Amino acid sequence: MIKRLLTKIGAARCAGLFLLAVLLAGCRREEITVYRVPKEKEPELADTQPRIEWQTPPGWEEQAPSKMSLANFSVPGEAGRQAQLSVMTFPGEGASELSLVNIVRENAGLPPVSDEELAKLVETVNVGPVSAKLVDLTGAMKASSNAAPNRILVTVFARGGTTWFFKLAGDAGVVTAQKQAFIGFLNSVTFVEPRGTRVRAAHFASTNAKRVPIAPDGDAGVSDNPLNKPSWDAPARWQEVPATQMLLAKFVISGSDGKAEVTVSALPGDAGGVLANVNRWRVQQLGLSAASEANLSQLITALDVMGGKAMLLDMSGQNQMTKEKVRLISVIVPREEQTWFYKLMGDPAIAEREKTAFIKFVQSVRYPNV
Amino acid sequence: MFDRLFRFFTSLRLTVVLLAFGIVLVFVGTVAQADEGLYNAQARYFKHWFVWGITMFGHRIPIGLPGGYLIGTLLLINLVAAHIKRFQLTTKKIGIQLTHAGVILLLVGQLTTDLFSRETQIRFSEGQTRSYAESGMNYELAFITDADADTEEVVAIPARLLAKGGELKHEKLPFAVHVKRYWLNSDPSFRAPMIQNEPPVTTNGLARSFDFRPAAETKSMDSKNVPTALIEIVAPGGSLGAWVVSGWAGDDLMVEALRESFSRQMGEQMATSIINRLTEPQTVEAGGKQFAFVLRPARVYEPYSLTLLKATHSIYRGTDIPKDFRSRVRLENSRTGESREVEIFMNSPLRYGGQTFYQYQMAAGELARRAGQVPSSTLQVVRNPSWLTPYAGCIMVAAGLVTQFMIHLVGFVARRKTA
Repeated sequence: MIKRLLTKIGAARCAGLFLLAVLLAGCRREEITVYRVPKEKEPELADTQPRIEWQTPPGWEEQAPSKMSLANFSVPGEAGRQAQLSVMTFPGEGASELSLVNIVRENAGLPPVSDEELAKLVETVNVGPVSAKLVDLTGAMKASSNAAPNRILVTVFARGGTTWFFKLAGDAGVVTAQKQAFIGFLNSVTFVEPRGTRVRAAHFASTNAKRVPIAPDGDAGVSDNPLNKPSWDAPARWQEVPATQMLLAKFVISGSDGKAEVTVSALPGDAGGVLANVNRWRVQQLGLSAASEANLSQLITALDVMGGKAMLLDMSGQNQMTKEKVRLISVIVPREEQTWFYKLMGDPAIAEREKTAFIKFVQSVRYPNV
Repeated sequence: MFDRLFRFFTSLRLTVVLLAFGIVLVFVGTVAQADEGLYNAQARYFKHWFVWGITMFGHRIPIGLPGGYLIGTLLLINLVAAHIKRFQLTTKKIGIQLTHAGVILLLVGQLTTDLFSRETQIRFSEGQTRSYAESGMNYELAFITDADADTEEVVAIPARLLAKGGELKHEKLPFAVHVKRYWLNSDPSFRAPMIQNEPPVTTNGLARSFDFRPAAETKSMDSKNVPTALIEIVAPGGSLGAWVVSGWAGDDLMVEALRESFSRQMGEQMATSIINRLTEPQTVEAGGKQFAFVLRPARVYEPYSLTLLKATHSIYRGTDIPKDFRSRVRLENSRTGESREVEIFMNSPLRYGGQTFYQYQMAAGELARRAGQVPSSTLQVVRNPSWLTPYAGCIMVAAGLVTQFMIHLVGFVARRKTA
């Protein structure tokens, strides 16, 4: 009876209709959705930007902050002449004072200065609780243009993971007259501590085979446009690993005699100067005393590389992280617009063994426009 | 014509051919997971009607195969049609009918699981309350504006719609979203002041501090695709600007992974400063309202909330082997007035509101404490309306086989006795 009934309706048709119904019900087209939810009560990300408070000197006119600056002031002078004060921040404390000052000088049309020259240009000021250096850039830009600033007073310092710039620029007469007011303004600054975010875990132990996706070390590297990246011949025993922040390439060399790393990085311009970089390695990474300009030449050996000459350095010291003996062999290759840094750093024995291969590697580097 | 079609669908040959194709597909689809990744292979081989080109041991072979949907559907039609054709309401055949019905239930159950099941995750630290679960793979571009003092209105655009590009509009948004670029997977790089950077793609928000570049689609189980898009927001009066939105900034898990990476390289303080730039809210004003927008893991809100009271991660003494993962949570439902504490641990999930909450991942215990982290836990939230069908189907098949066997056995013994 049932069989006859079903046959009459069409068994296949029944099955087809059933499946169609299931499939249609399951066809969830992705579309824009709207919903209302209670506001989240965890303002974890609010108020995390650096902030300051200050006392505005008489006569100064506070202006709206711009995208680039935290605060702006118009500083009036006689006969309609004026100067401008801007407070700017940049994330990070990585840059040296010298390189920061040289950036300001470059923007102002002035030649870069060395550490010794910088020392003559600065005086110490207190920016609130922070002791900082005030740099006088007299002669910045030609005074022939009325609109162009011809004197700049700048204070640059690092605090709380942020590099701060306080720049008073404008008519030389106004800047000179307002210098004390500017110093008073710097003294009045108080820093409002940003609310830190709670550190949460990035790695989780898993209860099953699935592991949490994690960012590889190379996730925060310098943008490596393949067109601008040089090519090289690295020994097969060097294991290339994802490059980390500020690096273009990184190799790990392991052996029974220890471990070493080869890194490649490039910085714009002269990257703060050879001396500044060498001393950074000597003091911060090797625990050595800073070298002077005079004995720098004794540390450097000339090396022929593709397209010109490079500087080879070989230094031994104590790893400031592990407190173990470490050797650093580096090659600095100055090029038209960039300075390239190649470093072999690791246990002394493996560094000695790999030195020749490292030099060959640096000499094999072919830059895109060579 | 209809009779021929009916005969075709009820034929045993079709069953054999389909089962043979099924075996081949399962083999090929399983091997392909090594090259194509688990999710991709599952989707391409088993969740499609046809498969064009297969991957075997790293080699692409240009042949076609019927997909999982086609084989499953035809098998189901075949089985249902054969069931109807040969249906006899007699006690002698009751076992066979029951077995067939069980297999049909298994097939239908699998189909409905495929269509209606959903897996999401709740990730929270001790003290945090969550009334939503997040997708582990899918993202959404959420525009959030204040509805009143306590609630906010969210317009969520699935990332798959962004991937199509073009213009996206919604009546609740007083502007259109023009998708100018979309990368399914991307890598961030911090625009450090001392590095020579290209000009930013846009001068608004996130793009001022971070560059993003496209990355190859990941197929590994251990990593995920983190999308980034360049969008332009256009009001009737003209463009309001272009912004970069990225999963790197909107996905807490990715943010924390980046924080850890930066922290390792540059120290905690610098890392916090950089991460603050990354997670700085991006907003746009339009139609008299302020809209915050973020590309975040797609969320599913529930009418109840869970608060993580305590995350326990104990290990066997002297080893790193986990002994116990345990989350004590408070379940609150304002609609029912329910408020109770529940312990969720391995093999003891919470079943509530049609969903099952399994203990999934854990960052608590000694390691987290030493790293200065707040203990946190991740629950896997599974919604599967047809989770009972495999059990029911298997019971029916087993009962059918036993019944049929018993009928034959009893008949055989009876015949022997009479002989």
